[in-house]
Amino acid sequence: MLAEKPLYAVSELIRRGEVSPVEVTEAILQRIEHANPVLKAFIQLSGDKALADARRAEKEIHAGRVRGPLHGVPFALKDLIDHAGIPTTANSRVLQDWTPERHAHVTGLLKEAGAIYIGKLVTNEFACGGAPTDALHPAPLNPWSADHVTAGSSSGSAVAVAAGMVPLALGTDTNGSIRNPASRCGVVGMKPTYGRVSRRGVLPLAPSMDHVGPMTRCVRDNALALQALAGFDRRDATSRNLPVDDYTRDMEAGVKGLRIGVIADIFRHDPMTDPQHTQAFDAGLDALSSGGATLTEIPLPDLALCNAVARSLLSMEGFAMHEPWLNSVPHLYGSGCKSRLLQGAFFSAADYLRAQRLRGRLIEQLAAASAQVDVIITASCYNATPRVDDEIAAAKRHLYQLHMPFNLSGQPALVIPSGVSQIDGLPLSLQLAGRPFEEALLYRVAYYLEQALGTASLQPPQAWEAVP
Amino acid sequence: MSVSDDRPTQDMRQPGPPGLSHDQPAAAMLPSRHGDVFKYWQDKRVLASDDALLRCLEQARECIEQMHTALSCREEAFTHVHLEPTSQKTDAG
Repeated sequence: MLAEKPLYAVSELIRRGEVSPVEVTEAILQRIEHANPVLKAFIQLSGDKALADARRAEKEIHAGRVRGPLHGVPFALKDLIDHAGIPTTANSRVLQDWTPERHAHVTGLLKEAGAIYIGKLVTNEFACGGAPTDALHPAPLNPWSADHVTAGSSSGSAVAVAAGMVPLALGTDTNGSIRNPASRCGVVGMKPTYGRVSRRGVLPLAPSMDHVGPMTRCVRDNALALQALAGFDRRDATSRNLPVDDYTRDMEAGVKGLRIGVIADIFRHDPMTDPQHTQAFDAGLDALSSGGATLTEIPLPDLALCNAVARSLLSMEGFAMHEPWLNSVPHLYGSGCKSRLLQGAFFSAADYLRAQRLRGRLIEQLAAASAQVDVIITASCYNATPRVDDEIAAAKRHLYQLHMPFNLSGQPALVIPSGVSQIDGLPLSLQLAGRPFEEALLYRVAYYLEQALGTASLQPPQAWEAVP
Repeated sequence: MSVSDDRPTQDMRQPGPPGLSHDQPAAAMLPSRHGDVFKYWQDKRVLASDDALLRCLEQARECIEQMHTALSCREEAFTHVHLEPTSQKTDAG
């Protein structure tokens, strides 16, 4: 089916004239009509506008004016990212009537590349506080199993991509919010280097750790998307004016001669680790070794401390953003988001400075540990995917994932599926991290692993048809 | 989401000021700065219950204590570092 094809394949069909952008958009809208009433990933659809844009793209392509690989390909946005004239609610009643006048920088880039905007995707309220239970919209369902969590906060983005409702969605990642749901839903999620992708027009949560990145069904799609998104934005003070690599040029170069740092101690000795995860991770290590890479175990800085620092910064920076609304309209927040943000009220300015000092030292430790390697491989989430009714697991979800160190350091980090659990039938994943602004190398290793592990075309069973 | 399972147990608690006990009303349990903040949000009735607000405080304190412990250890280590001058001596005149 057209909706299940990866972005790059659809793009090639469009360029060869075998499929039109209108047919692609129609297929995507049909899939959404079929799956979204159950999975609840999309909260806003621009179907008619999307078809009009697709017809325009078709004319341009027929006239020989091909803008690039995203021309005529549908995309969707986490509802934290602005599209002019369409509400950005952040899944909160606080913002339900707010409509931006301008596109976020990333939205504008995708539209300039000829991609077709489809709609907005549900998020945890203001990207924090766990799966929404009393926010503006409910949490989406995991297309692999309605009984298991999607994780968040870019849950709608992960669900929509996994279920074939859109080949490209954007997410945001402050404490793992792209990589966590990507892992649980079996898609590829990239948190680029801090400063690589503009955050202008994206609602902030904790600005010193906020990142925007693409979520796709395979590594090549992700690289093509980041190619359109990466670059300098003079109106984002954190944006870096550095050259952008060609992310697909060396993608098929293999891993021979690369030095891979392995961070595995932390989950090999944790009784909560899913043995299926470890098995898939080791299969990845074997594949890298067979491909000629050199593997070296490297230490991770104290994970509990990394998590404490990252969670503290999120609390403090998030509270700083929300304090006026928490004072004036607290009744408009859902309980999970409000509780999470209010934690920040109890920190002092001195606590913030301590957190930033510790952050600097943790970054130094991570840099020292990885100085002799080209890429780090580690887990993303390493416990079995929790059930939605498991409140203990929900409260402790941050303990069994290795995302926050790379939010603190700002290094690029990419999550890819590593297989499917033979126990519960849910996707497994692994994480690659690299030196700042070396996303191309991450894509090269990720592509190799994806081919070696056979995870380029994971599809969830279409069980959502049977979900009541 | 329930955060109740994330609460530190009584045994894990750092010693607090005199009278800090789960048996007492929430606002009476807190050190002064946290007590003031607690009372401010309590008076605004921003959360459904005092217990919910107390859980926010406990989660914040857990992070604060972890950071304090880590920094005090590191600062102790830092006192043993002897910095060496890196600039070359120059001949005056």
